[in-house]
Amino acid sequence: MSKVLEGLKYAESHEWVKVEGNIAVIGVTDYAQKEMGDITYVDMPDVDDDVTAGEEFGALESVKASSDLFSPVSGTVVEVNEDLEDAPEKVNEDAFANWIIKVEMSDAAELDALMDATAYKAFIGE
Amino acid sequence: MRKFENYMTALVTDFTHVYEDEGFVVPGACVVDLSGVEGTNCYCTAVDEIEAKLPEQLPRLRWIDSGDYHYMTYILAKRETEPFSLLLLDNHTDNQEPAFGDVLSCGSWVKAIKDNPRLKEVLTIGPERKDYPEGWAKGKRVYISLDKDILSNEFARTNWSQGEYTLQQIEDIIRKVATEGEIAAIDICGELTAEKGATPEDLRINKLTNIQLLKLMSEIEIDLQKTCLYGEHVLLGAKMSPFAGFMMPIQYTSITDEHLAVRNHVGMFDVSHMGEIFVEGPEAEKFVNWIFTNEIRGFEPGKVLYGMMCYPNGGVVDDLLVYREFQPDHFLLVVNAANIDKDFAWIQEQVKGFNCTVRNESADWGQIAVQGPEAEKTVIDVLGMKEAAELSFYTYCNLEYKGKRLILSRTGYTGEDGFELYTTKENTVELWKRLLVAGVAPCGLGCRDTLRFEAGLPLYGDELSPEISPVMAGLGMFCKYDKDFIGKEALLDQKAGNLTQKLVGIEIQDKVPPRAGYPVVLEDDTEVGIVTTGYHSISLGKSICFALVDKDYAALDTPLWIKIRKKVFPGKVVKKRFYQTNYKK
Repeated sequence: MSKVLEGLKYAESHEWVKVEGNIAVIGVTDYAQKEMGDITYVDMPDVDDDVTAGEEFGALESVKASSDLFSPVSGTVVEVNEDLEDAPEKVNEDAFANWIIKVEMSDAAELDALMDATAYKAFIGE
Repeated sequence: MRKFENYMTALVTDFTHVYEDEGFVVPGACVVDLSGVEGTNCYCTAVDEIEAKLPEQLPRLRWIDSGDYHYMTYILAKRETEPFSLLLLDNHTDNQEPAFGDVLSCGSWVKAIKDNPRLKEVLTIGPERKDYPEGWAKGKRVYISLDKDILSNEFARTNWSQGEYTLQQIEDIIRKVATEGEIAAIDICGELTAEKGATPEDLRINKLTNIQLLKLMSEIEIDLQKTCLYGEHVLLGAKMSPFAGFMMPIQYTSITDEHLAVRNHVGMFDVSHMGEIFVEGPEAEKFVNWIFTNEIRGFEPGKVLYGMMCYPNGGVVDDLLVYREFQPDHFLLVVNAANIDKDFAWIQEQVKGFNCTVRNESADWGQIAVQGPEAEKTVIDVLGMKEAAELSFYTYCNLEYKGKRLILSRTGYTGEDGFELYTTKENTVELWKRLLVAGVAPCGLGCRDTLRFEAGLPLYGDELSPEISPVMAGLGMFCKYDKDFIGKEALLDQKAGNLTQKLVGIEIQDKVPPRAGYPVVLEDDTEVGIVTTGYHSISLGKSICFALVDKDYAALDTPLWIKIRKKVFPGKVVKKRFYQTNYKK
């Protein structure tokens, strides 16, 4: 069973969003980290980069595979989690505690297209 | 340039990027970008160009974009090497006379495919014949080509008129074929592109149907073989994946842990999928020396030799081990699983005129590799094979286990000391269980690749292929020119400098792993090569790769850059043997 936290929004590409005012805190789900296996690298954008809902903003790398990260919302990157540069395995340890980027949203209405915890659980078949 | 993916589960021929728009992804798929090829829409004038971009080995499961590209079945079916029957699931027969001369098209390809010498018959299910004739696939190799326009609007959205079938009905037909006969391949088309008016809802429907079909394929595990240890892998909860036509364990716990078990202690691999071909007879030595690049004259019984079989142009048929048996004029050739059929056909063709026989016993043998610094102790203490202590690297001896032959060979593919044990399937299962109970870590193909890569060992398909010769791959020491062998002239020519590319090692100054297929570029963005295998190395902590580059950039310390997604990372050419190997002398 993968952990799914209540109160967050979820994308079909397995990112979660925690809304803090106009800021979207974005990470990947527990389900995604399990599918990936040992994460060895997190490729993140730079602060001030623009991201677009549904488009790639970075990638997770495991020993064998690379998996693109898709932004659930559009906006501007205001912070990246620099801890992950030296310790990407933290995503495996706790995917919800270790966010990847924070985005200042340009269109908060995009959040409506995302799933809630119940819908996401159904989506991953749990 | 062709790209080969070891763990590829499916082929995606991407003409329109529609799968990206759908968000449909097949994990491990080999995606061939054909969007830049001219002359592909409905009418195809680019058959050669498409063929050149396809990987050398085709997975049996393919998504081929919109129904406008359904002619891909004609192109892909050319690769079939054995007779097949075509089952067309389509709301249209695609059997029209070509509109413009002989041009291949989505509406006439079924006419064209009838010239395929291996095609035995075509059965079309659609508006004209609604039901699958029970038992039709019995004893047949069936190539299924599915246009989702056979489905009703509930399950598919296409740019062609659609039929009335439910997804369940189509799934039932595919299941029946899989049960009755053997599935040679499945091509799936019928996507709807935004250009042709797809709404988000259309894309969602098509994606869901694709996911259901993918799920079905994984359930029927189309035509995959299982080794004698398959049940053991499942019991251990291994992550299984198709590899070289076999359902194989990729990892049991984690690639990193299994890799470190082999480097620091001992691990074991199921390598029963490898092929065993026996050559016997008065001219066996002469014959093997003719097809093999390395020199076997003067090579004693009990010794093992590595080398390649080449085509006359120097391209590689396969890389293999040759065992000189203790009986005079007897040789064992151990070949790659993916190439067994191709190799055996090649050997049978070449053996004509030689006084010797060749026999493919691949299906009768199991094989376990026990690898790591504690391998010798393990083989002696756990299995009681004291003879292990006497063997030096690349030698073997014959033992008996439960009354059957067991070959104990001090060889491996990890850069560590180790053994490979060849015996019957029954014995293999028993040996595996004994090793497991004794605490030997089962290791999957995931770490087999990271281990061999660090040790600078090539993988056929990545670093050796019909396009990558041993000389290009830097393996010229396994080619001996004071004898005649197939490919010698071409290889000598390449050795004299007549070649365009060379395989190098590259180390980049960042933690991001370079992956197969990433471009190698110069500072000014000129592309000079492509990555063939790459990792963030587990044992060395560096990001390193093998890459095939223009020969002018192959010298040690040459600065090269690797393009990884949107960024470019600086690196330099280094020696290919990244890790100091620990073989027993």
